[in-house]
Amino acid sequence: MMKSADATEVLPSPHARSGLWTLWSMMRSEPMLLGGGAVLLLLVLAAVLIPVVMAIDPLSINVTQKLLPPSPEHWLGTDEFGREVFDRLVIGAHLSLRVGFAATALTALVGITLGALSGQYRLADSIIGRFSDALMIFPGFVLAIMILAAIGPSEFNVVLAVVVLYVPRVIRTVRASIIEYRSADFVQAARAVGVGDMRLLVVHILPKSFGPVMVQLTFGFAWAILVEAGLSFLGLGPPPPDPSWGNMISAAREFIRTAPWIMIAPGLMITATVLSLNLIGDGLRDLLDPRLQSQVNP
Amino acid sequence: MSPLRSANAPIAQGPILDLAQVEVRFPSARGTFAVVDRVDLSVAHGEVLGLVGESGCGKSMLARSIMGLVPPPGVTTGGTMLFNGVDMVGLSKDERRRLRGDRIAVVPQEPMTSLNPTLRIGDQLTEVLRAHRPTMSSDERRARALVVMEQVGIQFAEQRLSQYPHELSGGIRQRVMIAMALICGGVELLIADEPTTALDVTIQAQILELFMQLQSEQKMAVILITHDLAVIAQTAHRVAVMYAGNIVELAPVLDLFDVPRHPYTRGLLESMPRRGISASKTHLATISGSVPDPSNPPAGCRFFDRCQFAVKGTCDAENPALEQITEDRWVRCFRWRELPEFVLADAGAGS
Repeated sequence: MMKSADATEVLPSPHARSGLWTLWSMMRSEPMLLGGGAVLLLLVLAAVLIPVVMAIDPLSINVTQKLLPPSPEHWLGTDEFGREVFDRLVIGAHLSLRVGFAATALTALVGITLGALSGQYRLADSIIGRFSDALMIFPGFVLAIMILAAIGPSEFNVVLAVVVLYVPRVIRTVRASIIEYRSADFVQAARAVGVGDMRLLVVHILPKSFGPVMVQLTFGFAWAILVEAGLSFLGLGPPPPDPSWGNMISAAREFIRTAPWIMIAPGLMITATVLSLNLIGDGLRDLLDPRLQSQVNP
Repeated sequence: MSPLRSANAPIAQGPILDLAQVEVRFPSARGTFAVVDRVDLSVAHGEVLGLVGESGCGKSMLARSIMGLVPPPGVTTGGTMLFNGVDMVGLSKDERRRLRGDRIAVVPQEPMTSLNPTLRIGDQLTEVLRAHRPTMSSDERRARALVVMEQVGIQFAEQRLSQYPHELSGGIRQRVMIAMALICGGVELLIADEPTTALDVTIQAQILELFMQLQSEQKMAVILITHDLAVIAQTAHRVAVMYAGNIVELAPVLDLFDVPRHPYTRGLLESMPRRGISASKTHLATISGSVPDPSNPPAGCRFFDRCQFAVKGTCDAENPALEQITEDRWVRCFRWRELPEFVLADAGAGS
């Protein structure tokens, strides 16, 4: 038997700590990621838990108590129909987060599949590539309005519009990293020992796009919430009286002088949500792409 | 004979690999051009065949063609590639894939980058079995991985299985690559593409020794691609010299080193560093110029521009054929009979 050159090189098992622990210790050094994550977690918990522990009724009208300012009885005041702004805000958060999550998940599914196809097959690449180029020509929000005007306002259609608009970016990211890695030495070495195309793609190549795609999807999430709010503001979102942050702001325009709280509350919520998502996106990017980080803050 | 070289003479039966007129072509603006040009070559069972030549002469592309992995848009066109009598050119993509890693294996040049940095060593080793022995259980795969790791001299194999590539040294990684090539247990032809180029000199010797030991134990045929003639001298039975997509000389190793017949082979031998060179203050010889552009090959001998023995009118008129000059030697040169005797400068001071 050959003697090995490295008898001294024995280490204690280096993987005693779990992957989750490693992830956490890496995340601890990213304040943006932690801060954004904490705010988002709080928002999600609030949207999910508040309706469970409190009696929330965003629709009940009380004309004797309209346009009341915030007070211990009415935490965020009431609107022009005497509905609780707080209750409507919570249910609106539900909607925004639901649209955001659904759009992000669907974008990931469609984007990764189509991106993998275009990275792998030339014909698919030219077809999918031209379609995504065509989609990217339009300013995003204008195209969203066109889509909603064509297929009618509803929660699902908002999700659909966001997916159509955002998917080309994910396709491009996935495609780029497939093209980068499919000729990598380790992929060629795996191919040379008979690993099949499908497994090469799924096990060796596609995971390399995980980082950039995660970052992109986080920004996509924030963007989905903005688009939903914008469409609702224009009356192209899920139809009233169901509350969404966008249609709350829209309805509050008339009362901006007399009852500004109706508008300020959902405005702040949109800002907080989008900001936290952007922080998460920036933090993830720094975490997953150290090269970029050193360029930004050396 | 070198201590490293396998004592097994090649087993005399039909060749394991028999290439005839194999061509690898790439498209260009004006039609296609050949980077491997009608190569005839056979490898006997248990033989170590050295394939030498400078960068860009088609060695690696020939190896990829044998594996069925010519990078697109290149294609293997024409010719036959008999592996144990079966023409691989006619096989389907999946049949080619099933040969790779099981009966034909390759050890790559770059052990540092040829392992996936995000997968554990064990997963990458057993992946080969997953591809070729789908009925094996994961315990059996693991057990097999441990056996092979011991064979290639990896200590503490159990722990290595759960380590990542960045935790291993270059030498160990190359041993892992060799283990991956052998793990299926039935390798008949091993293609080693510059397996020691990326390693320290001391590790190089260990890896070569391991190669030769495994080669004689497992009686497999090896195609050893290298531009290091010292490695060839120590290990190969026969040598094929490639230049600009052609095989220009094919000979048993000792004959080639004693009496090189092709001017290019002579140039390679002269440019090999050896003892006594600095003492006599002679400069190490070089071959001036570079390999011709394969998309625009010269009309005559491809070595014409760089050859000190070239004669206008003969050598630049057409590319000479590969001519059999003795029972086991071939050379592609019009003037091989007329060349002066080959004497290495300071050969007396060398070995």
